[in-house]
Amino acid sequence: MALTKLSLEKFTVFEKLDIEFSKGINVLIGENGTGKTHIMKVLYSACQAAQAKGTAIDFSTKMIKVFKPDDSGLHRLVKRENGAGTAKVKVCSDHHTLSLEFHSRRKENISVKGRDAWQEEFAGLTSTFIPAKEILSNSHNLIQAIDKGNVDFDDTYKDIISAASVDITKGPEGGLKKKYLKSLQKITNGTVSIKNEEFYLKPGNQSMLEFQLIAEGIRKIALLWQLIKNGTLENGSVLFWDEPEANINPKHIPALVDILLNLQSDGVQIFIATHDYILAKYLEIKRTGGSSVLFHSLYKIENEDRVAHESNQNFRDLSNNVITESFNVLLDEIFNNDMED
Amino acid sequence: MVGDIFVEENGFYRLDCTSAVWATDGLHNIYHSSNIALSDVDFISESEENLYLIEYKNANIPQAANNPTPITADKNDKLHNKIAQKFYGSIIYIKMLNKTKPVNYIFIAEYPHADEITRKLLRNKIKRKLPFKLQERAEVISPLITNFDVVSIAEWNIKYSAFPLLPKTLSNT
Repeated sequence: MALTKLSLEKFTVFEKLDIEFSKGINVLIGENGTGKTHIMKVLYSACQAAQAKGTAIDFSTKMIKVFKPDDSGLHRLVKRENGAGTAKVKVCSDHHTLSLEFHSRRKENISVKGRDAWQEEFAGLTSTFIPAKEILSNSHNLIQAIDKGNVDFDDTYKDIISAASVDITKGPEGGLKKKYLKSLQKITNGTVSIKNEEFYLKPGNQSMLEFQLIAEGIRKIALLWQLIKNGTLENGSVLFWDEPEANINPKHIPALVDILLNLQSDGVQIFIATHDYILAKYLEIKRTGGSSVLFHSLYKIENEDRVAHESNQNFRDLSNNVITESFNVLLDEIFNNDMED
Repeated sequence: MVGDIFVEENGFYRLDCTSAVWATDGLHNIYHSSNIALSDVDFISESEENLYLIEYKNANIPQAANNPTPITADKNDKLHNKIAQKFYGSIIYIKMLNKTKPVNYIFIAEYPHADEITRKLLRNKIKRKLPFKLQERAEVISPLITNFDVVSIAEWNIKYSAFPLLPKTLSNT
């Protein structure tokens, strides 16, 4: 089971979007404000809605918790333009569609369709959203504070703390899992421990280091280690990762890409939003015949208030590629000014 | 001699220089028969306004006779130096023919996972080995090179469409 398609109409920056996904790795690129994170948050909300079977959390509620519009008003996510409008969201798998409709002016007018079949199909699904900003170093009492309304974080932060807090004894350590963990440990130089709701890194026999004393890039790798170790990222799960490259030393990107490719081979569907050439290019060159990687470029249409998209199996063949365009400008400047590069 | 159609050494592509004022793929043989130990480019083509020194390497075709050093992993600058030497060797012949049009040196490079960025990185590195800096000196009267570029076959056919490089099977002749 995997997410196969998303249709959006009059939703945030999107006038109309129909995008098909790979069951392996999906790489979303595009300049700021083209809706990469919005796409991932919609998909994540749909996954979480399936996980929440039997609870009060449905698709629309999760959308509100993840997007955090003012006054918890879903209607505020309707694309802003003159006059009233209705936003339509459809998330599809091979077999079912989960739909959501809401109106810009009629706040209570929210319709969710296909929930039961969706929850049936995705029962037991685990989905994880890793936000761009690392949060585990501030985890102590954060969930309680969020629940009490003392601090204002969207649900992706709360959920990732919960996911990372899962008892690490859960889940068998098969050969591949061991391999991933070993490879990540080489980068972090230690393993993750949890004590009194706080995260620590334990390097070998040395005493535990508070997460906030460790470089942010290493913390992100340590988080991935923890999610693999505790069984969150296993066959049939979905991983959303917003800007994995943020604060990570580029020399660690190849190892990170190896792990992402192995996870998708093991049946984890992955969505990544990135601005990084190195990450995108490594995903292109390191994939093997069995890997499924699809690149999606989101771009603004000049003089029109809308975002369009194209998908391609090759990063190099995207005709609207903001990452390579930016590099090209820099390299041409170096060339024309005869500067050292 | 006027323009001609040349087949590259692997026999997969043809460079159509029929619209050229003058063109050759024979510099290697000219130097060889003269016992001159100079490097040479694969093709030279002359238009009304410009001269083009063209070096072609394709590591993507099966059983390529001239698979270069992996282009993006050229740690000791071996390939960069070789491409630069081909310019210096070839420009001597151009000077001997007393051709004075602006000289454009173009490296057509195809290799696995190639993209615009890696080609531009390659271009910028090789440029530093060409005489651009030298010819900025005040005493220089006659610059040797006007432009250097690294392009894919597709880019060549767009930027330098007067001399298309097409698979042999798609060529008209």
